[in-house]
Amino acid sequence: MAQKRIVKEYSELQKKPLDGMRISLPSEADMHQWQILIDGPKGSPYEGGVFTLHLSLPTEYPFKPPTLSFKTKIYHPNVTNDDKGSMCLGMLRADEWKPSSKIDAVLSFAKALLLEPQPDDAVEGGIAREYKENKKEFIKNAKAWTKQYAKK
Amino acid sequence: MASEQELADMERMSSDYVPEITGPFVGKQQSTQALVAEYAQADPIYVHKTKALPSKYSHYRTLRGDGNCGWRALAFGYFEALLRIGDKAKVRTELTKLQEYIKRFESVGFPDYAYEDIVDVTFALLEQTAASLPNHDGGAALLAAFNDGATQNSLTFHFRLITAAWMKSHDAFYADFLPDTDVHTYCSTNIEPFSVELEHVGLQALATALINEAGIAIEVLYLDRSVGEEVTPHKFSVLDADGNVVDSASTIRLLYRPGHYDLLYKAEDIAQMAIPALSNPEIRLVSNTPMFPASATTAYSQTTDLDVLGDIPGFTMGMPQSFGSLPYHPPSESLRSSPQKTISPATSTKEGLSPSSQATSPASTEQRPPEPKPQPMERRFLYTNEQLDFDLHHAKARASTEPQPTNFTREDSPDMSKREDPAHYTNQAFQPQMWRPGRDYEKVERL
Repeated sequence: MAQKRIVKEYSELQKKPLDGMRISLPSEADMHQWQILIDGPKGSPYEGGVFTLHLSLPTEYPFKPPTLSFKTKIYHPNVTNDDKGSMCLGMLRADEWKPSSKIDAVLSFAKALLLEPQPDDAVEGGIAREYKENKKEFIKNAKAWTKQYAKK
Repeated sequence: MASEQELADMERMSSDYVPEITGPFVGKQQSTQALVAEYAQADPIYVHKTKALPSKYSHYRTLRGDGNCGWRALAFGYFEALLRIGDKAKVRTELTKLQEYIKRFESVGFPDYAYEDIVDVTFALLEQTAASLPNHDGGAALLAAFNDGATQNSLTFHFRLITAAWMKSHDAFYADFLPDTDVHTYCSTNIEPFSVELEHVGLQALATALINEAGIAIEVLYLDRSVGEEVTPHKFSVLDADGNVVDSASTIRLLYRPGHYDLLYKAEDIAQMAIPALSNPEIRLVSNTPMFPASATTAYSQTTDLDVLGDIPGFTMGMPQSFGSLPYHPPSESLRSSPQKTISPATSTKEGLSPSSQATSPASTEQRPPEPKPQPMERRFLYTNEQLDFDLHHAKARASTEPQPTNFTREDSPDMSKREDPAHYTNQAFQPQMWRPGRDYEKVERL
């Protein structure tokens, strides 16, 4: 049912790509799985890295929220430090998701989160505490991970 | 002591927790006696209030308690009321109105892809409803549409969008209802997000934007701990051009228990729904005028007090089953049929009756209790064609709506057997609550 909408959102993002993001379909046959490459934003400890993200649109999209995960390991309080790399975004929670939200808003939000983590809404408590209490150490670790895992 | 990571994990688990929700999106009509039974062991306030239900409201439908129940109840109720009113032209007018309403979506800034797939589903169902009139199926197609996951998601969300667009384009008015937030924020946190339950403001907005405008009233019956012997009503009435309440308006009745909405019906609603679905040719003869002229609906609803049936000599509760055996004298020549026509009980109760509660379980009628002995009765009234038609169908409706404790099972069919939505009363977190003005809509459903 939402096929029309997904195609529309995808082609709009191809026509007018978000700054520092490239979107593609791993399989042309499946409009519900998107691959996104995000450049680490300038001024963040992720600068210089390229992060691969996976956006999955459930069959009930837009009534159920998409899920967003990092395929590239990242040192960030809002991204789980496991093989899933799930990103915690308020707007993607089932009870906050609005079917009228655009995917580009989701992606923009993800990028904003790289620039400014939200330690109070963290999934990685240790990293969140470090971010709040010892930012220098946090930046050092995040840069090291960027260099190790997200090098261009 | 738990580490920060453990706390964060627990936090994530609790925020990701989705309660298991079962039951049909919109259940089949069942007798409100089931509610009496459900609350028999409850607090006396609930016992009193549920016991008083069946005398006024014969049937109810459960709605799946997934955070959309109130919205889904209104969407379903709107379609059902249109079917009950039975006016093809009116349904087409509603379709046109909703098509024009898209301009409002544009003016409040909804992106087109947020609604274009969605409105198409509603339009198609309105088309289908219009096409089914005047001889509709008693609501079986609607029930099927509202139990299809994707379709009901779409219909429900369309109603949310209508509400949000209305509130946003009347933000000065709605600002007064929302002391703690602004209208746009409220819409984006409480109306547009899927699975955030209906609140009073949204209900008011949807009533004004669409439902009352369509000549359909909404009544919310509160089954809560507030003082009283009956459910507490709150009505969103239809007003005529002079601002007077139109009492005869077809009404969507919501049964509200803290955190959950179901649909409630009066016997007359069910009677109205049954009328055009008659398949008994002998009964059709009686109503050889157009089944449901628009003007007639008003006449029906103004005289829907079923007590008139009590004025008929010999009319008893057991009456409907024996209806067919009474020698029946058509009152006017307009019937152009044999004056000794009789109506067979089997066809009038099994085929013509309450298709909405039985249509999808044809086998269920087999479980009816044995029919009582016919009570011969003479009727010699100078009824007009229309009145007689009306009485006949109400008598038939009464047969279907009269509480019959032994036949609850007939409402069950395999696919609908999980009709109960246990979330609101088996959930330990559910507590019957005091009604608190200003805080009366609690989101306990998601607990």
